[in-house]
Amino acid sequence: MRRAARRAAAIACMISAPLAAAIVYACVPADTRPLPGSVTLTASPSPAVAGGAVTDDGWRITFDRVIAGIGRASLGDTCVAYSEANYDRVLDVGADAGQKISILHGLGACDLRFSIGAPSSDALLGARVTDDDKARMRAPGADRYTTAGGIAFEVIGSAARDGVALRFDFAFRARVRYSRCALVPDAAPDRESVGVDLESQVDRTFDLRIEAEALFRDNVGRDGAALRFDPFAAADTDRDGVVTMDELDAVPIAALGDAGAFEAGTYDFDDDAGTTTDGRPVAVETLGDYVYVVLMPTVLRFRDTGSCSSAIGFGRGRRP
Amino acid sequence: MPGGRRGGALIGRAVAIAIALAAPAARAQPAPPPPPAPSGLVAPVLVSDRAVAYPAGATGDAVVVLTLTVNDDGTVRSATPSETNEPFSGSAARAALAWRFEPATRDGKPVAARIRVEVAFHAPALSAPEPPPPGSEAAPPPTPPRVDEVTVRGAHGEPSRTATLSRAEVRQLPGAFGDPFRAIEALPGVTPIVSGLPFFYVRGAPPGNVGYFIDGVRVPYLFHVGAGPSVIHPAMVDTVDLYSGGYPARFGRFAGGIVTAETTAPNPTAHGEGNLRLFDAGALVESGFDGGRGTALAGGRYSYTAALLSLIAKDTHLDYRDYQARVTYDVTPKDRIGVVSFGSYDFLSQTVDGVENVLFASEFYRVDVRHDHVFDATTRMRTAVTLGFDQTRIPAQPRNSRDTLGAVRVEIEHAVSGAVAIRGGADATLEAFRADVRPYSDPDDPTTRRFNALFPGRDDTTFGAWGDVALRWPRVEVTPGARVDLYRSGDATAVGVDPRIASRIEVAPRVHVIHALGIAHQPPSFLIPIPGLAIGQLQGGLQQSIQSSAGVEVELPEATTATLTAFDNVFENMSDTLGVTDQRRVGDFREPRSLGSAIGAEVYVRRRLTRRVGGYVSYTLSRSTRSVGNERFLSAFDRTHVANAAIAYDLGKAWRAGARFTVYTGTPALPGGNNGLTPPPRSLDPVRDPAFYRLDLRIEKRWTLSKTVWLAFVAEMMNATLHKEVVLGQTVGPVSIPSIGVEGAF
Repeated sequence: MRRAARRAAAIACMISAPLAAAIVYACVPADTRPLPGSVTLTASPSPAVAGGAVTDDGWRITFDRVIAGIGRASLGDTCVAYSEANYDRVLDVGADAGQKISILHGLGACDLRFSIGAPSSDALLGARVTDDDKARMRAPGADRYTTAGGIAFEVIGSAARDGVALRFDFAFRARVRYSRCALVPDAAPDRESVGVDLESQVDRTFDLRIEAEALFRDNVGRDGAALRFDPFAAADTDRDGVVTMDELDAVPIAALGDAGAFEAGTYDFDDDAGTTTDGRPVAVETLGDYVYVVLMPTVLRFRDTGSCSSAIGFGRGRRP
Repeated sequence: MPGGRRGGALIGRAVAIAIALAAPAARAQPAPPPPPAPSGLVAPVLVSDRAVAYPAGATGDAVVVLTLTVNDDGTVRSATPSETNEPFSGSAARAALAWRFEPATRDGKPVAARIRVEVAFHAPALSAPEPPPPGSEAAPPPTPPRVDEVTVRGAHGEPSRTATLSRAEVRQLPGAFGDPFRAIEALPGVTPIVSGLPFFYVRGAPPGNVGYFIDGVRVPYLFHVGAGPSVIHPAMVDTVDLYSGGYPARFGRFAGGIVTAETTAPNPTAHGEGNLRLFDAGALVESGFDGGRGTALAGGRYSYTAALLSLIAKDTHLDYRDYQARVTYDVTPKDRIGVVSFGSYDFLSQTVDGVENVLFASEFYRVDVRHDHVFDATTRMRTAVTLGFDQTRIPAQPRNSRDTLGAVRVEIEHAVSGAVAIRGGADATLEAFRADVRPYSDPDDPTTRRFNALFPGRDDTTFGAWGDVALRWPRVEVTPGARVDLYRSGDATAVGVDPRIASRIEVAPRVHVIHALGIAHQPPSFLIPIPGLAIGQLQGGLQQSIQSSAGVEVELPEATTATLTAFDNVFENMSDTLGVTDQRRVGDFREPRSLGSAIGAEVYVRRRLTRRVGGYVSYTLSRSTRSVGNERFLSAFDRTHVANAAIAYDLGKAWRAGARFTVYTGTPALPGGNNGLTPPPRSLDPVRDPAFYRLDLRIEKRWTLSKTVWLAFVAEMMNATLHKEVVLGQTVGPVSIPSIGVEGAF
């Protein structure tokens, strides 16, 4: 009887002890955080991209295609990011307004970040964008600032005046990273003026306006800048009717910086540093430099009137 | 006064004690001298109390022959009667498990041994004899048991085994913190991803292709998060074996290496061990019941890193803990029932703006119910049922994935003769994979869509059968074998057939040539093993590896062994995301299949660390490549040279000190980004990241309080040189882990 009782106790111990040890243990918790808010990023064309524009020197500019690899959005580290969208799209900005870029979820005052760059292999295609477009943008190529980069942003169009018609096809291969977006135009956003305040269960949509006409401004600031095409037309020295970035690279900016080159307007730039890229100053010496380094990052407008800090990354291929 | 047929010095009543003292109920008979042992071999010698209680209720005399397996530390691993003769055979077997021996030695080096012991029971006298008059001669002291044969075991294991680590050795290894599993990184053929992290490449096989087993039960990982300790208390681990390739047929479903641990044998003698360290505390106790027929063990570890971190990084919370429990019961001398349970929990979070974000959380639990049956001295069988539960907070996603598993297995071993043993087994496993729906996600995100496609909810079943034959002649040992596995995941099925063969040949005294060759299949694997996450639907098909190695093992003087091994592994249809990655793809759940190759040579010279002066040197020269499409390149974690050198020295007065130096060359420097494009083709002779080295130190002072009780102070530091490391172009660290604490055992 005693042996049977001991055996029964042993069996009970065998079963209960390991199970008891398991029961007292913790389990991986489910998500207990408060529900986040969301922000949907979209891209829209400016009126000039959608319908054309007339420059201050009388040229009518029409944009045939404004195509960009855009995305890789995140919320920075100033708030609680629930989800980010580290993917990109190839958008023909002129195809439609309000094209979705990505959706992010978070809580708090978030620093909105995204970039324009050559599309990844995973990049989704927007309206009127084909696989051929994507493949062409992904094909390695060289320009003044990269030796083996794809196309991040491309503007194709034409300008006409007094029966003279010129075409342009400007392809930019450098990646531009945007952050610290704010609604204060042309101000320098400080760390407290971040882009989006996400509240629990509140969904917001922020539109990024692509202003391709910024490439033709004579001043990096939007207010007070004039649109000028004369210097571009003058750069077409081979008279083939197509203005290229190489031709712009042959125009010394000094020749445009005083009143002798054209009647009105000046190009305002910093001789010594230009736009800081990866911590290194860039000397802006030609019209091509000015368009590429100074103006191109300003094509993107945050919520119509706002702006973002930008930084160009040239990668390893940057030429001296 | 009833003489009684009841012996039993253990009962403790005066009459029984008198009977036992006057006419010992059972003592090992004085035996003739043992036969001369083979050259260099010294048989074990019994040193503990050898009393065996005369079974209650028994009558008459009996002789029981036990086959004992004596460990190299003198404890008895198993005691098997040659035939059943209850209650004598059971009584003798249970008592023998508590015996202690001077272990067998070969050339002065302790080794495990199998011996036969004869125990003779004599029925007690019907009346208590007269005590001897004063001045008469005392009863002769008990003599050692009769030993009929000595079989040395453990001098070498399976031919394909790279190395075996015992707990005693690992305790002395600097940088291992007493964890047998952590010591794996110091073995030849093992290439670390990052110093201090428990994920390795083994002869070119990525971490996801290395299998981890504890007593035949598969576990998803061996270490806690944050470079923490192993998930099993070291006191429960008897040995850890590393099979770098060509492993025995009983292991399968992994195309890389195998790390397998055997737990200590049940021990009815009350004992325990504990430790208190800077970051955690652990303990393990075990004792017997029902006269030693049953044993119960409980152990665990608890971290208080959360409290410590709150002092320096208030917003970070790190927590880990584990438990182990085991109960065994000898229903009969030939039948043992056991229930083993263990589990592990890890949690890492960071609080931002009052919101706690879980960065990593994972747990797994196993319950293994087993029945061990000994048919006779030549045949034994194990039948087991395993239940398990794994769960992980998916990295960077606020949802959990989980795996609930059930498995049955049977293993049988039959010694046809002294030279031939047949082994075989079969198993079936059912796993139910489920995951929460991901909240707060962009439905267009290709990464999310790719992840969901890789890890769908489904039920997986696997059936396996294996067999091999161990042929052991005096100078030649050959083990051919094979296994077949049928995989089913969702509606996809596949079959893997894995032939294996290994040999060990003595070509000269103390010189052996070892070969291993095998094919291994594995379902698609992820970056690293993550509980609850496994690629579903057998997407891309099974991985296959062909593993071959050839080596020479030489037994040198001063208890030193040296091995030189060359290996050549080919991996087909390999899912090695880490190895083929470029910087921007890590973590985006791509699953490119590749053809892999790893060739190299390993040198391992070792003298047991438990000697007064012990140490080892391990060196691996290797080259690991991958081919994707038409592109062939070095694996992202190819390291040409990996070397470890360790020394442990007994300073005297119970002080021991040790140092380990680790150095390895850098991995290929990955080409940088090109504005989001696919990087240029990778080279077979690229620029490499800087090499890395680190120095681990250990010092211990032990106080022996009694024969079995000791206390020790241990100070240890991994990467005392505070050296940083460059991994995939990023500088990390220094990953330096200090440990100060006390340990003790009874």
